[in-house]
Amino acid sequence: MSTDKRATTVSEAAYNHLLAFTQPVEAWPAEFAERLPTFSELYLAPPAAGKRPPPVTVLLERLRRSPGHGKYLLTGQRGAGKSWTLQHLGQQLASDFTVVRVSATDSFGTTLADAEASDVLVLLCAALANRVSTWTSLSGAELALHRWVSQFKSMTGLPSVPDRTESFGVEITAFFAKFASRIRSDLATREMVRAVSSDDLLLVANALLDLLGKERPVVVLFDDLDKTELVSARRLFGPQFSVLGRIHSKMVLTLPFSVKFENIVTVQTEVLQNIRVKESTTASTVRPEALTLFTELLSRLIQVELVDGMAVEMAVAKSGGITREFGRLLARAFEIAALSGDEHVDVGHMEDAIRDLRVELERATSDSARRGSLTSVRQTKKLDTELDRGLLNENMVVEYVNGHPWYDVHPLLEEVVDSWLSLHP
Amino acid sequence: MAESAPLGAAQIEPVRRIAARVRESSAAGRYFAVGSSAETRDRVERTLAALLNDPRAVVVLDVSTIQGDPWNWVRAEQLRGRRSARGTLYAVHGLGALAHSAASAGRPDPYAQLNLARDAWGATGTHVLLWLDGPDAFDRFLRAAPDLWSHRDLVAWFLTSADFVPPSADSTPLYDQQAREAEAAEALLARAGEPEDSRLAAAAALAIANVERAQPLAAWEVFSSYPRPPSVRRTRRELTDAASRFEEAKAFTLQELGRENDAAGIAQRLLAAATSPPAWWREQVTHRLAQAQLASRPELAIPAMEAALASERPEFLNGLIDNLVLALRNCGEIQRATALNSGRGSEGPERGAWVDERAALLAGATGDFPVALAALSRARRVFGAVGHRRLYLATLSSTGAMLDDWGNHEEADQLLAEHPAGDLASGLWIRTQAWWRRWRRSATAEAVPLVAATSALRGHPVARAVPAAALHDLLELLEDAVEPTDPLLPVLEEVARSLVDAARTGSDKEVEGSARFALARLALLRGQRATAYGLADRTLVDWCRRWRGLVQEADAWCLLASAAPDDAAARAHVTRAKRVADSSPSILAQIRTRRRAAEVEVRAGENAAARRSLGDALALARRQGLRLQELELLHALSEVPGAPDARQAASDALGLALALMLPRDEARALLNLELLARSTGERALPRRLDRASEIVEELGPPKLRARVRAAVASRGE
Repeated sequence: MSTDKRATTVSEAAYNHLLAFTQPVEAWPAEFAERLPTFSELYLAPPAAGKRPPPVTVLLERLRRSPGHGKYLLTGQRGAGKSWTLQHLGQQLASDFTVVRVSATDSFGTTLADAEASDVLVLLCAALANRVSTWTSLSGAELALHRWVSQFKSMTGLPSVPDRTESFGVEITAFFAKFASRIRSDLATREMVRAVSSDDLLLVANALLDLLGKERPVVVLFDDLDKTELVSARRLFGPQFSVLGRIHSKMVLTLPFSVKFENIVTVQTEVLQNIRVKESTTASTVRPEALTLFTELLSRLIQVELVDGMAVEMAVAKSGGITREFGRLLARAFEIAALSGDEHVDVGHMEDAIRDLRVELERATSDSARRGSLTSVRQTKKLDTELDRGLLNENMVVEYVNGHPWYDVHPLLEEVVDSWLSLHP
Repeated sequence: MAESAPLGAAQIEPVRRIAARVRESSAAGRYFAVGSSAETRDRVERTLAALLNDPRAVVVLDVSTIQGDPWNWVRAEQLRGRRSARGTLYAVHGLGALAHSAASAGRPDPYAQLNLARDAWGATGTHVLLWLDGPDAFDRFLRAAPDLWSHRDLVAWFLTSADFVPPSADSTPLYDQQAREAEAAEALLARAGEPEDSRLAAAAALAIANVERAQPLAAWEVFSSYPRPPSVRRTRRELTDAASRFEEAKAFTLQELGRENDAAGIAQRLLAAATSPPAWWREQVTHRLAQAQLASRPELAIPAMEAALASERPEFLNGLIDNLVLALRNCGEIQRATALNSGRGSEGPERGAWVDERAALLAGATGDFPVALAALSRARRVFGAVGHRRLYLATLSSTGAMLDDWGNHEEADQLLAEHPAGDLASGLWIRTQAWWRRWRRSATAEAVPLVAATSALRGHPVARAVPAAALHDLLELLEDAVEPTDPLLPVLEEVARSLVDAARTGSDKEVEGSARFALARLALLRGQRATAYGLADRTLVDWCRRWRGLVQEADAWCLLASAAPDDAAARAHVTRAKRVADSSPSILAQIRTRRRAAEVEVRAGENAAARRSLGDALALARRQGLRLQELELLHALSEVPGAPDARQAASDALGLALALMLPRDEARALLNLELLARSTGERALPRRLDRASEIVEELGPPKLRARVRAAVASRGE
């Protein structure tokens, strides 16, 4: 990579390059992603000499080479890059496969938490139907589709579906588009779906997949199922997983990180981990390997001479090993320097950035329930309630792994929560 | 809408950051502004447009009445306007109303919809500022849109009193209880031939209603018309319920007029007069005694109240806990007070208002202003509705003080301007505080309310204690804020002298001592240490022992230490001050004493000892969550010359000031960081001093403003 693609000024880094860390990967402007390919490569596949290859490599290999309709699970700590990995997989596989990407949150939003196998199948059907919406013939799938649609049209008030005519394909896809939207916005519809036999739904999904698969093999990338509640996730990836196993395509699904450690998942699972920053929770210095990796990541975006090594180390220490949090700290420090007209980022800027972001998080914890949860997590290192898990989603709590996952408050909040604890030990 | 004033120093910083991002970045921006004031929104958006040098740069979208996905409306507007993403900011209003209507209609939550749209939003490079209507809406957003939150670029808080308006009044009818009681009492007193007991009870009710209506001078007039009733003078066994109530009301009025000793004296006399009173009566009068001693002698009041907690009378317990919570709070015992206040029932709106008022005091003491302001707002609504003007004004004043501390001075001024305080005595401290807030910004010595009030009340045999007390409290506020040459100080000296003269004439030893104490403090503030020492001498300590309790005695020793002619004397006085404070239940006094000790130690060049004193005080403050004190102590620690932990203290102070949204403390910490950087040869960050300067030039206080100006003037030297 030629150096001219990297940021050469504090301002350029603050307002453009460093934002790669905090923007969702899907949101990267094309020219942005194009300019920084080696950054994402390193992010997804950090060097780990002597260990097994990174999940993205393993999954690519399996999806390309394994026969049949294999199902693969991807998990990882929040912020470890699951979505990014799926995005990358989609890009890499696009030349050989029909890639169908499904995002559970895009479809269910806040109701995602209690997802079941039938929900997953409906979402899949909707995504597949959207994919075939431009096709004029659904030959081969019509029977299954019609049967299925007929079950719902009377209950949901959706447009009626014509008999099997020439325009059936077009109409049916319109139906699905509306149906997918209805599921997202109408809980009653969703409840009705759950009442339908999974076998019926499976029939429809497979009919559509078979149709799509006539041209090229299909790979389904199912994101955000890692955000389901634990009880649902145990059900979905435990007893209900056999239903998903019968889907006629290769699939990658994300699952909640802690479920991986519960011995209920029998499918091969690839694990993404945040970067281990310290040797122990009480260590005062960051691991040299972590510093090297984060510095290398940074060097693919900006000229590292723009920032003091000590400032980078401070950001690593407060990142919790989460690349996005590291980037947020760096971006804020560069922003502060840019606003000051400084041409170099030093420890003072980083201190200000750390303070700023700590305050931002602290102000977001005024709710007494949230405070109670944070102090509980700080003390027990566990997530005991759904509220605790919510804190993980809000990035107020960070997930670590030492054999098994454990939890702590975001490093920026440690002192704040400790001060609450000193009041109510 | 009329064009609003520009955004103040306290609020402009995040707005600058947003503007810079919008101007400079082609990547999407997700900004969140928390606050529901339309006027503030308008100011923020005008300021943004000005900073972006384009009146059309901020596109406002009100989504309150839409039925779809808010992001689609932003996108549609973007396509319609054909504006480049960079340089344009879409400000989304009305999300709170939309969330409400969506929930009622069973439509999707707009916050969740925005969460889903986060990627599409990013892909277009759009800069969007989402207005969230206050802390509750922010909390809802956080739960519904955690993914969007994790991609946040900036969160700015613009809280005003509009964010703490309670939900609509509940269905319980409220009425002006005080007015009804006063009317009924006046009607009875006007009738001839009523039995003495009825007249006494009515007079007591009228006096109490007047006090609660913030008219203590009128309440005192009641007692002028009804001298001590014969039944009290008669034998102990004949002490009637009505006579007792009459005396209790008198004690209450005296307390409100700053005569706590006289009020306590009445309760003591009542107790002594009854040989075998009913248990409930003894309980009540003992409580009244403790209540009278609550402010000046917590060492007596708190144990007495704690002993009475065993009472089985719920109606008595409520009042008792109100007072005990206040006493503990005044001592800085926040954790105990909070546990006590939150562990009791709050049935009915008025009881709930009391609990809220106390909760607000406690939250205010820990710097948790959003919690305090929400509770104050609820309490104020009820106190206003039941005609409890004294507490209504107190809650209003506390609200104004917090808003002003946040830098929202216009709103703070406006609040009190719309609601004139009570009579000359009841409202004096409220008016003085309001005036002090203005003085803090503009340093004008004009129209000090104390001057007129002293002139009017100095001849009043009882109420002259009110300006004396207000002067005492004002001097505490001025202590760290005023410059020795400030023209205000001679004005206040004149007030103090006038009180001394009047008190002497009236043989009023209590007020005379109080005003002499003030004169000594004023001399110290003017840098006249010898004069202060001469004025204070040991008689001041004796006065405190006679008329006040341990807390003020410790303060008197501190004053002597600060004014002492040599280090040895200062050390001896400080030692006494610490001993006295430590024997009191007041953690605040213990903190204050250690802080003054540190000043004396710095003056003597004993910087290590000063750091230890401040460290002890910090530990005390942190143990109770007294974050305002913690902040003050961190400033003090960072100002100890050569302290190795000064930089960390200044940095911690800055973090705390930002977390609590206290701009003046932010400025002080920034100044200290700048000065420390200079002293160690570290590279200074000019922006720190610029920001400090911006704050103090608008918000003061004068002493800090002078320090910042001096630092600016010596830049580059």
